[in-house]
Amino acid sequence: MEFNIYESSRDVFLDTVNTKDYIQLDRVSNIYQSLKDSITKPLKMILLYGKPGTGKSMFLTKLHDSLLSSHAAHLYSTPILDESEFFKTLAQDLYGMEYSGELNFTQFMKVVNNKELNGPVIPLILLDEAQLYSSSMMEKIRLLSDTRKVKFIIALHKTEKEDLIAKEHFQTRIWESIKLENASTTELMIYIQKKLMKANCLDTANMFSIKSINLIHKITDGNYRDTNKLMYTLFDIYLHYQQNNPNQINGSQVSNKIIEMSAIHTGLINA
Amino acid sequence: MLNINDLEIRQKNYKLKSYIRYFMIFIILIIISIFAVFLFNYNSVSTVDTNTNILKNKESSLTQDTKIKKQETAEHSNIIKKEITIDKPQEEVIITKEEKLKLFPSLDFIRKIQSSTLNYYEDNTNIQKSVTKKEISIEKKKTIISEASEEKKVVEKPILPIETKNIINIKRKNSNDDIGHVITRFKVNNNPALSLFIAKKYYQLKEYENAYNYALITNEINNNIEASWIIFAKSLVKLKKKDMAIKTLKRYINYSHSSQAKLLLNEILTGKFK
Ligand SMILES: Nc1ncnc2c1ncn2[C@@H]1O[C@H](COP(=O)(O)OP(=O)(O)O)[C@@H](O)[C@H]1O
Ligand SMILES: [Mg+2]
Repeated sequence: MEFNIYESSRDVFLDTVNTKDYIQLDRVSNIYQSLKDSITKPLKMILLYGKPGTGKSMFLTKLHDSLLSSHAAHLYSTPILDESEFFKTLAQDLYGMEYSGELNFTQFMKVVNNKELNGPVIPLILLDEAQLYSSSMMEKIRLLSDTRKVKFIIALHKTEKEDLIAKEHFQTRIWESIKLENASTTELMIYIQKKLMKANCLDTANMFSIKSINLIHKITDGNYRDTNKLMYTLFDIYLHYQQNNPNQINGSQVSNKIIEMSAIHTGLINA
Repeated sequence: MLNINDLEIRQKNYKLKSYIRYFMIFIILIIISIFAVFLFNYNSVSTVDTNTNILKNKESSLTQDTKIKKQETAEHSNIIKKEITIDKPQEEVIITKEEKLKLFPSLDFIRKIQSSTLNYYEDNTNIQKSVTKKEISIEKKKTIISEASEEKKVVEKPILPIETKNIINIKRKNSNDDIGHVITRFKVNNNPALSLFIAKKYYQLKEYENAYNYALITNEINNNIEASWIIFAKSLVKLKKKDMAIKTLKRYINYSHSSQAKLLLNEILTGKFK
């Protein structure tokens, strides 16, 4: 298939979490480093929080990937809401034990307490979207952490419920809590340009001046997910123009008009 | 699915709306400022009215004090003569410059017009019309009251060359105009910067008593303004209260170590400043 710059640029911004798409951003790499450091510290739990679309899942996935070589680490991208199912998966991942029937918390605790650690490193469980776990489930996860035979890294949205969870269950247990934020204008510029350049879309990467980035930042507030949506639509519109009336577009500088059209289409602007 | 045409239209509407929003803000700002100017003018008209009363009272009390003041009032009257010739040709006033004595009875009346002429510079004619009626009635009263003191003045008045007077008059007009403005503003917001300005202006105009008063007022609002102490002391010297000026300056220097105050004190003590 022929290479179409707008089509390729568009697909760069599909909302997927894939470690090969990971962009090194200064602030994020700092957090990343401190998180990696805290894994080797004798902390029981690590809480990673931030608004939806700030890159928590991406972060957790990247961490998981890079840990795998040195660590026993398991990522649960979607919460396992059934308790028995959750403990059975844990038993499988941590100890390679298969259970056919039910496995309740008491039974599983017994198993954990009887197991000795393989060396000095505590195995890691990374839980994404942890705000979906029930409070009683979170309490059990905390009790498991207290055994120091397994360590949890928990990512959750900054919601009222998350605040509640943080207060009720982790106040004294969570030793490290890390917040992810929306991108600044500079970070957004780096994000957009690097992403395009990674996919060999140099021409479209050069279309974004700081002025255009400012407008995009104004619309998305630097939220990565919203930016992805906007950029996807933007290049979709460019593709459409290219195929229908190519003289309407200028390939050297992204047009504010098309940025706004994309924002309207994705609902980021009310019009 | 993308509907480009629809999106283009919606984008255009969006842009239009945002322009309209800016436009509306602009219009509203203009309306507000017009309204504000109108209000301000309206206020100044009514306050200048009362101001003139105060000014007149002061003037009549001051006339007994110094000759300088008498000269001033004479100057005042001269301006008014001019203005009246422009505004409404009044034969009696134009008659002669030498035969001043004939004009004296109407002097006070003229002076009152002068203070109200302050208004003519600033105000819309509409507002002016409604106000003038009031003014006239007030003026009439005043002429009656102050006529007695007026006569004294008349006798003592030195006859000065007319040409020089004219030049001074022009300046005087403007300054008085300024002060009237500033006094109204000061009454509204009690800003010490304004009262200080008024004090300085009066000092320039050699109206030392007023300068003294406003320096004092400034000092009451904020006693840390060096310039208010300086004007205060200078006015005291001019009002022949040198001892008090020295005392005040010394007190202030003790407290602030102001070099300007020291300088002035030195000048007063050595008689450089009189
Ligand atoms: N550092 C990054 N590098 C590349 N893409 C990122 C980065 N951070 C966020 N993203 C992208 O932004 C989108 C939203 O991030 P995600 O991790 O799903 O947010 P969250 O889990 O906080 O809701 C994803 O499509 C992801 O690919
Ligand atoms: Mg996520």
